[in-house]
Amino acid sequence: MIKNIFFSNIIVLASFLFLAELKGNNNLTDKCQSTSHAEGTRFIRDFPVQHTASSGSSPRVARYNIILHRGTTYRIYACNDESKPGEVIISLYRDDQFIATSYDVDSDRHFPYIEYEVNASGQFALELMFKGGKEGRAVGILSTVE
Amino acid sequence: MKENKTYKLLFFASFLLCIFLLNNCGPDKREDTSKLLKEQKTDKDIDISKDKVGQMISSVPNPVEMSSLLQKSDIIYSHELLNPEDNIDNYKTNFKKALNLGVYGTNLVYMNIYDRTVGTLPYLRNVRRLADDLRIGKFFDYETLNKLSESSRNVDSVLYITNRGFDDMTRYLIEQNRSDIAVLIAYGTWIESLYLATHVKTLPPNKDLIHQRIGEQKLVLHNMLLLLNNYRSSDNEKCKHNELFEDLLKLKDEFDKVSIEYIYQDPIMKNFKNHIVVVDKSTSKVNINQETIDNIAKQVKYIRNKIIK
Repeated sequence: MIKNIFFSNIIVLASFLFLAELKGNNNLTDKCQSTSHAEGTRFIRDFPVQHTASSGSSPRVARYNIILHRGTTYRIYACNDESKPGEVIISLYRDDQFIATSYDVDSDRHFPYIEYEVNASGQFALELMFKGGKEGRAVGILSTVE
Repeated sequence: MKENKTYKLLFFASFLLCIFLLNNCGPDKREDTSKLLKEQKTDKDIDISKDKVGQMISSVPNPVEMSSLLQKSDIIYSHELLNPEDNIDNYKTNFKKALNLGVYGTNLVYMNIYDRTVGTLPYLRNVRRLADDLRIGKFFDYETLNKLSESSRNVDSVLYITNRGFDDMTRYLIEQNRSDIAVLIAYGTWIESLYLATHVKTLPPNKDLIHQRIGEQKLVLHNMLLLLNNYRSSDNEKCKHNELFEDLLKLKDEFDKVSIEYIYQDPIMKNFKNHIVVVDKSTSKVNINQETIDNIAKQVKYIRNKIIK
């Protein structure tokens, strides 16, 4: 009985923490949608990501599958939670073949958004990670350019 | 000593439970927590990880894309295609509620894209009711959407809040090990989008564009089958998932007649001051004939009618 109450409470606690995290993510999405990156676009989906600092050499990566359609221009942008040190990098792949990334290693430069004019429909993947494997929280947004 | 520690922990957890209930449950949204907890499943019931379900479910298209395409292609709005609002009283099980939450959500998006914002109230109510019944109503911002529905100038805000609400519901359900419900919502959403696309009146030259998009759903069908396959079981309740899976297999028979040709070329990338533009140099062509379109439409109608009845 005590064990059941204990586990029930743990589940409720987990829900509470999840809802708190979700609220934070929504604030970040709202903030991102109010930036100039979102101008002239229609919101399709957001991709929240939160990582603790990676201890190894390869940073953690969040991956999402998406289907993009021919004849559509998509805009992909991201916003960081500035209270965390991590800066998000978004990369786009088509069937594991690299297409583009928001971060240019040579110039050490982050681009606020990627615009992609799709001419061949297919399955793509969005990967989100934090530069240098630092702790971070961010949201990536996929929208269509109207 | 150990028992004392357990009681302290229990007291702390109960305290958090009280805070949680006070903060999140208004009088109209009170949830039967014990019932809610009964619905939790153990990880043993789930074969693929939460992360994997989250990854795959994001490939199920958002209804905004299909409805936008229909509207931009000058396809006439067809209110008679929507799931009648009164049908909601037929949905008694969580299985039916989840599927029709996807259906009504798609109807809501379709109406908004066609500037029928003012007439969306019954559909908004239905989405709220089904979401509440599934205990995910807190993610659907009914009050704001209700206010915004007073003017058709707020379409993009309405779509943003609606989409985000559905994304939040999905994430929450997956997190709570209720991804079977999340998959059913996605299934209902996708079938309804496909139903609208295959049943609206299309005329040349946009007819071909719509047919191409219907053919491209072959990619989604593959992912949908993988997702549903995860919930097939000999268990009585889950048997309903089996039926959905079998229906999709019949739809797959039709989509197998669709071929998509690809010519891959490296994209061209242009760096601007604030952004990168990627121009896709690859091309894709969907080969689909009228007979296949008609057969897909027929099978989609069959599945959709089973969902909404």
